[in-house]
Amino acid sequence: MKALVTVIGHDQIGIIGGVCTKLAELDVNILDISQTVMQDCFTMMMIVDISTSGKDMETVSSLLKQYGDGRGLNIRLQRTDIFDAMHTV
Amino acid sequence: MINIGNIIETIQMIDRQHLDIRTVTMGISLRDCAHSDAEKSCARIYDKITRKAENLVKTAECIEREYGIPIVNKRISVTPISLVAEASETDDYVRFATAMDKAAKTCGVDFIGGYSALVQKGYTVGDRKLIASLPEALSVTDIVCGCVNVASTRAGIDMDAVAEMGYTIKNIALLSKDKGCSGCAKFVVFANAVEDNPFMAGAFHGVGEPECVINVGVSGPGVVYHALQSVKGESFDVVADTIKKTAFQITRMGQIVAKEASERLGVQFGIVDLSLAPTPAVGDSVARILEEMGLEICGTHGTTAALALLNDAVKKGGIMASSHVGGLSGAFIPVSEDEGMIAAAKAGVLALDKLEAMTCVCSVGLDMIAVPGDTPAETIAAIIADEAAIGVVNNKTTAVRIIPAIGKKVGDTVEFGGLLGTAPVIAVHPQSSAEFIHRGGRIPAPLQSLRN
Amino acid sequence: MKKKILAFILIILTVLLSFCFLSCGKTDNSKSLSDIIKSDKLRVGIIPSLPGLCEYNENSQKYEGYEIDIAFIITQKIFGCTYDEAKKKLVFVIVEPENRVNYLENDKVDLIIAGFTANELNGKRVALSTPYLTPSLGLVSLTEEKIKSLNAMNGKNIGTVEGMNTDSLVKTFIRESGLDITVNCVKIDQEMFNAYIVSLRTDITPSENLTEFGCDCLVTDNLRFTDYVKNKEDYFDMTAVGQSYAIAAAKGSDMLIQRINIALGEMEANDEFEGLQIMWNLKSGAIKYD
Repeated sequence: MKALVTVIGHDQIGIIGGVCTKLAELDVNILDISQTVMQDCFTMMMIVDISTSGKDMETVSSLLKQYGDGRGLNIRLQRTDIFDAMHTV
Repeated sequence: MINIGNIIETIQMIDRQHLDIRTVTMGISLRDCAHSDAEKSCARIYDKITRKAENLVKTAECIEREYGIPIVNKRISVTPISLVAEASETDDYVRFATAMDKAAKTCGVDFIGGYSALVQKGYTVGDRKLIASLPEALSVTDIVCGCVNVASTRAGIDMDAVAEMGYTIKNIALLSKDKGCSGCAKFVVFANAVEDNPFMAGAFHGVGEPECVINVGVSGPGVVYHALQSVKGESFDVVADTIKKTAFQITRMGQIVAKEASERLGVQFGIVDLSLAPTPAVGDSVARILEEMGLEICGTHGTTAALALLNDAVKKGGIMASSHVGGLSGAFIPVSEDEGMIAAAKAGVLALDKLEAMTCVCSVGLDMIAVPGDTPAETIAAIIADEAAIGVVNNKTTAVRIIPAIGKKVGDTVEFGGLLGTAPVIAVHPQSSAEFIHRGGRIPAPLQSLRN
Repeated sequence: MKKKILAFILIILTVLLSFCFLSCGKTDNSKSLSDIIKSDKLRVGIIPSLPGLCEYNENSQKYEGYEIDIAFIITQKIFGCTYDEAKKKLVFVIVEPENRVNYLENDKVDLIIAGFTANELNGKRVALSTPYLTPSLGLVSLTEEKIKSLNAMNGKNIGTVEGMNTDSLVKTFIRESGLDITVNCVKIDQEMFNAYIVSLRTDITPSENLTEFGCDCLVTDNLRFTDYVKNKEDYFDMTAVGQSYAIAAAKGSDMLIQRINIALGEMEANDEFEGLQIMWNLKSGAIKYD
């Protein structure tokens, strides 16, 4: 199942590497990444496939949040159907 | 490929522009709960509601988390109780309200609607008993909402019922005066009521509806307001187009959530109500949208035209987005629940007469309006009669949710708290309508009713 | 042949049953608010028997009391008129306690404001408003031993009047007080009870001595006891909640009752009940010592 991981926080060295490693630990497959830095604020969005992970969405979501809290990052996990639905006829 | 623009836009709508699902309402039929013994009937009602809606709140919370979309309210609507209780040999209908209240609290929802009667052509025995019990029922229960339909395009206006509504509302206010007359915030009088409205206080599960449905109400005045800010000075064609596109996105969100909720609960998907419903929070106001269109303060000349455009564009945009659109679907103008309306009323610009004109072009009617506590019951009835006439002649739904603020006068404010907001007391005409109301009888259905 | 007889019997039964329904069916004698306003008159049934509540004043040749004042206020509110105009519209009709309801059913009065207790039994025959007075219970001792507290009521025989549920009110009050007391309630015939109350007021020896029925004391609404009685050492104000009084209209007169409820609700919001009760000395526990 496709989901969106959003990472927002202050720019630091190693964010991308760190988050990707965490996702690999959880057996979540990364399908696409996009990131940008705006005025010291780092935003990264990743389309991932969580069906490869053995865990359900709730668990993955709270583990990611925990990881983010420890590093001053706001990490959110959401299903993607909503974005497709809202922006395509 | 990710379209970062779309994603950021959506996230901002939710985080900054108050986009949310205003309500997920489960409609439950209580037609099979009728019984000649009132106690047994109430027990059946309690059991059925708690059984059907057992997982409603939990499921809504899961969907909330997974999609990252706030679902502000979870509610229940039931068959009009006057139909269910009629089979019982009792004069005391308050116990039915108590059973509804208990069941709703067990399920963890925040409101339950359906303590209602449909009397557009006259009263049945059950209707009479329910209406007589309304003041007590709404004061002893906490989260029960009720409504009465007094008129329809097909049947005309039942002026006896309209008169009685004036008295009923006054009594509800008096009995709940220690709670800021909030009993009146849980009661609506309708003309042309719809069977699948998910919003309170007028939600009920109509007789043509199935066993159980999920209806969703979305909300996004903040999103529309934000969208309009990027088209300052542009012509009305552009404005209408912008609103349409935004309404599409808002309604699509409702559609997804509705489908997901109905699948997980194993309940039929009913409708998405694409109404723009404001909240008292700053940035979530319908009045500010109208002001953004170029009016200094909502209520000045031009307000009706602006609202007509908004209402129509919202409908056109939302229709493509959902497989089933229903409920009230338009723009709401509840005075106490809209920060811009409150300001305009306090400034003395938004008056009752203008609000009445606005109800001709938007989806509901005179909503959450506080009037002086000494307003005669006949005047309240006459206000209802006016709204009913607008609805009946124009073949649309209109409603009145009016609160006589006991002990307060024009210039004072009434606090309801939470989503119900604050209402400034606005003036009514002091000249009497008592003789008019005391005539009684029925105003016949207009020519528009003959459509065959 | 059998089928024909069966069918015939069924038809006869149906006809008989429908006659039954027609004759004992509900006849609608409800009173419409519009009719009252059009007639420009309000007929109110009263029972002038209790000082403070409703009495005929020989000197002024007028009815006066708490219930009379309420009747005037309600008239003013219904017609939206002044007190002087209300005097012309308000018509008092004296009704008897036993057949009060008939006056409503036969359209002899529009309302009854005469100590109609608001209970479910009454609610079946008439339409009742919200309460306008809730008296408390008073106790008068009949024996040498004066009962002056709840504890002293333990094991005693309490006389209450037939037709009211004072006995269950007493028992509820005792239960809620948490005290470990039992009482025995004895029902006394209405006429005898009322005669005794009157004799108490006038200090004339009553014809029947209720102690012969085994009563140690009497309990009823404290309104029935005048100051004279309340001042005596036989009297004990229980300050327990008695049965509320409500205004009665013919069954089904929903709008009229709604209108009256608004009037009563406004009076309560303005503390008018409080004021009237103090004026007519009806506040519970208001014992005067000269």
